[in-house]
Amino acid sequence: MDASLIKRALLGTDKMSRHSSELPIEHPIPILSELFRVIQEGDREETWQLLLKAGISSLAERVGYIPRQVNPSTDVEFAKPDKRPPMPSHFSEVLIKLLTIAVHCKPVSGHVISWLLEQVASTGCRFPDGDLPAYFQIFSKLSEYRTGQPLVLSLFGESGQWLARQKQEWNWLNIQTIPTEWSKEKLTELWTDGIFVERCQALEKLRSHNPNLARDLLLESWKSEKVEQREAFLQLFSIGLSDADLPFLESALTDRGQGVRRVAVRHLLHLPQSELTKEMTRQAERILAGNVLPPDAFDTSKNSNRSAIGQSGFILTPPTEWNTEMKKNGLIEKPDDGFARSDWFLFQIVSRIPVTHWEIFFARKPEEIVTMFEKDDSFSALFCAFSNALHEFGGSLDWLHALLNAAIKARKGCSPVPILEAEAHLIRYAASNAPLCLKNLFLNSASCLKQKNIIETVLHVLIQSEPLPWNEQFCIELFPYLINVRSGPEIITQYMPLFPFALRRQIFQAIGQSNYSIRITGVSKEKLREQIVLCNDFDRTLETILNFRKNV
Amino acid sequence: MDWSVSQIRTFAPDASALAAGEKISRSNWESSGQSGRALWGEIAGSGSRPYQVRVDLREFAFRCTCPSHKLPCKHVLGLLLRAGYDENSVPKEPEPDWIVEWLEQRDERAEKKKTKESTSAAPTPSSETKIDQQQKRSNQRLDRVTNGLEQYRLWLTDLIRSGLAGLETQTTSIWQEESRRLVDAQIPTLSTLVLTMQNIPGTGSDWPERLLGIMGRSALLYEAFQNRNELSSEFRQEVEQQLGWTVTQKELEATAVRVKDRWLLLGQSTQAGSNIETQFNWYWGCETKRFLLYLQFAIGRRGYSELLQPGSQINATAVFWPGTEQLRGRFIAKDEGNNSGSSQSPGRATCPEKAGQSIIDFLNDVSDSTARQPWRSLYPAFLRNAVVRLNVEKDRWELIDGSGFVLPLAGKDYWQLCALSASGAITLFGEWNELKLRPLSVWRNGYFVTALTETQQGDQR
Repeated sequence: MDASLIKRALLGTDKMSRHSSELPIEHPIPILSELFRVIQEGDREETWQLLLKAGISSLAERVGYIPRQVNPSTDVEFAKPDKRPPMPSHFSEVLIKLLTIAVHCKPVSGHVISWLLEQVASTGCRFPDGDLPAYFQIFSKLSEYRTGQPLVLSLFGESGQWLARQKQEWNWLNIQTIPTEWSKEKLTELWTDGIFVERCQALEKLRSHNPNLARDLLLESWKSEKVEQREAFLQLFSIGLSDADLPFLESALTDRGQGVRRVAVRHLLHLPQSELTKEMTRQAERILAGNVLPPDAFDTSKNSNRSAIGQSGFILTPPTEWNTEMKKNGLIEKPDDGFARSDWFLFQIVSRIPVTHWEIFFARKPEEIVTMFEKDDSFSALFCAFSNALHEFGGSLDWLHALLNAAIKARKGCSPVPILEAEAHLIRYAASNAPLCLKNLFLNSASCLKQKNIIETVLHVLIQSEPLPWNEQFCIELFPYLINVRSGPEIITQYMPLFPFALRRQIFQAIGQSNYSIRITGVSKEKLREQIVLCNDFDRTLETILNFRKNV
Repeated sequence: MDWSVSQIRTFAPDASALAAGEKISRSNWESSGQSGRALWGEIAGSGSRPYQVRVDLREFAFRCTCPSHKLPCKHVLGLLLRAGYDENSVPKEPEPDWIVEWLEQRDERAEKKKTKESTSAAPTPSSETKIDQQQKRSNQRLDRVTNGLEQYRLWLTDLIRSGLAGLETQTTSIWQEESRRLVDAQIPTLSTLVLTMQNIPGTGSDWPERLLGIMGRSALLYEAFQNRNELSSEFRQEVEQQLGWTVTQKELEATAVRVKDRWLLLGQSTQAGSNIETQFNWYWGCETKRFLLYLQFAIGRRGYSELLQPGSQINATAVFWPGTEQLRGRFIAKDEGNNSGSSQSPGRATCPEKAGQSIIDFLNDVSDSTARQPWRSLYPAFLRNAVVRLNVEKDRWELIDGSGFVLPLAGKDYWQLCALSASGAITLFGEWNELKLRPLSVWRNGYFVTALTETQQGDQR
């Protein structure tokens, strides 16, 4: 539309008169002749003429609209053709619902998601194109599935990878396809222009095959990164950690961010040559054997006669006073709930030393070491520290047995009760290293543990350590415990796809019983029932597709 | 039953009815069953007797004995969803008496309506008196409209004299008063237009141009009405319809040309007013290759009288409103032998062969159409061989056809369409309005894949 026309309309014709009475229309639309013929005749006031001209200009724009043109062969990009068929839309709809439920229940149901994806991949189908945005939304919340997951990549297919390139927030899908040998330019470009998730993924990959280059890259931008990002990047140094990282990690001990300092401490404790590890070892030895060792015994470089240690009684001697050295070493002054002040210092210091160190130091077996301190007032804190250390640095199964036995004894009232969280650490360690041992222990001692609520932790651990798909026997063993614990219905909901079809029917019937429904607290009966229907639908459709493909 | 769960969900009048329907679909039904022509069930409600729920599958009509004002109610939705989720959960059974009775009553009513329509076509002495009365009412309306238009002209002129710049800070009363006055003058279309204008000031840098364009086109309408006696009869009819003159069903059926075809519902959109919502149903005649716009109105909290599913087809005879465009129409006779409500379920609705056109052909049609009827604000766009892409530089979505011509899309999020056209071209139907295209439905590989969700449509508005 003519700019002068708009200007006059904005200011008002009273203020900006054109002093012209003719209708300045040059007949821009010949085919509108009928309308023009009637409006050309007669005198009109200036304001009305302006409006008529605006109306005609607007019509002229509509009639004469010329669209922009691009070169379709060069300017329009398509995804590569994908030979695999898209999964049926009904199946995809069910899968999206199940994944959405699972996403809201994470991290507990990580197993369910993996299992679902493996089942879908076995059909040889990919996500339908129209549903790709929905899947991107789901996986954007599942960072653990985004890196180096060929399964996820194959399900998204060529269209998914193409779509990811169009939207930066989804481009994590393509990061894993970057070759291991990256050019310096490509790296710098990604590090400078990438979004946070992309940079994390790039750093993670780089740490796994060239940790020094990864560190140098991070050092370039370290000072300009936000504190949360510094912490997240530093977390990734657990991959490929070596003495070469020492100077950088030690410099991070003075970082402004508390989280950054905490992560640096954790990494340094995994490096035996770090000053921090040496200092912590000295302090821990002083706590565990300070009352019996001669002063020079703390010098671990000297080959003292360790078998002599322990002839006399051991008393734990934790530090009682807070000092600046402790602060510098990343210890926390204020105790967590359940800890006395000196026990809190003991717990923090001993947690930082691998349990294997004590086998050499005392020249005794784990069971003996644990028993040595069993009667001590600070045993509870020591137990927590050993459990933490076992979880953090690893150790032999003898340590696991020794600590679990101590826990059971404590539960039976034989010794002070250890803190629940320490047991959880212990059990997690057991789950990843000796699930069978834990299962037997659990099934034998459930009646004892049940009263202390630890059963839930054990259940979670057992569930996550059980190989997929779950067998029916395992589910049958598990089910009675699930319906008796507080978060049982939630666990049932989250793991529903992994329960065999027949057992789902049992669950369905159990839900129908009023005495069971009363137990359901956070989860509605409707939600459970809906989940069962969805899972049955998923199973049936999956079976249909697999049979179809088998026959083809 | 032909409907999928996702299609049934679109029947819901609102989100709460749908949520309740989903729940009820999983409830314990006292009885349920289906035959080729009906679906029924009984479910316990708050009353002493169970609610009887029935659905006529032939023409998609429904009834429930519950007191809900929602159409369809949660029980009807629940029954449909139950059958949609698992066909076997509603077994095939002989129709119970209450269903047979209901279907018979419906058939009788349809028969009576047909007979009444055929007998009322013949003139009687009393109808001559009626014609006189109609003429008198028509003259009265003409006076009202003429006066109303004159006042509208003064109102518009005053706005331009004092300048549009001040409108950004004005209260909405200036528009609402004029809108009310136009309702009193029996010019509802201009009243709605004024309400549309009130939302323009301050929205985007080009608002003065857009507002001036709309005002200018309404000024042209005023001029056309003043000179209506010099216009051709078709053009005059268009002008009158633009000002809200209605054509009665009888007039329509008596004078309009009848077009028999297989009509495919390409897309659906809604436009909300203060107390009335208008549904635009865009049909495409597969044989005659012409559009038909069927309007439905929902007043207050009542739903639409018919539940129409995009992608469905119907064999029927249609009549069109008179005028130069002949776009708005309605169906007067459905081919009973070939229809079962929506004769083809949407998910499987194939795109008519060679349907759709290129962007240039479409814009040529828009030019011709604008010339014939300058006050139209919506144009149906049925475009083939197209892809949807995000123009990152301009931060807007675009539709690009095989020749590389580009149309901007109205709205912010079209990732689903982009995904659908990731590896190949699609056929898209949408509404072209104010130089932007609003997608409504899409075909890919010959099949109707999706229509935009309500949320997405809402976002665009």
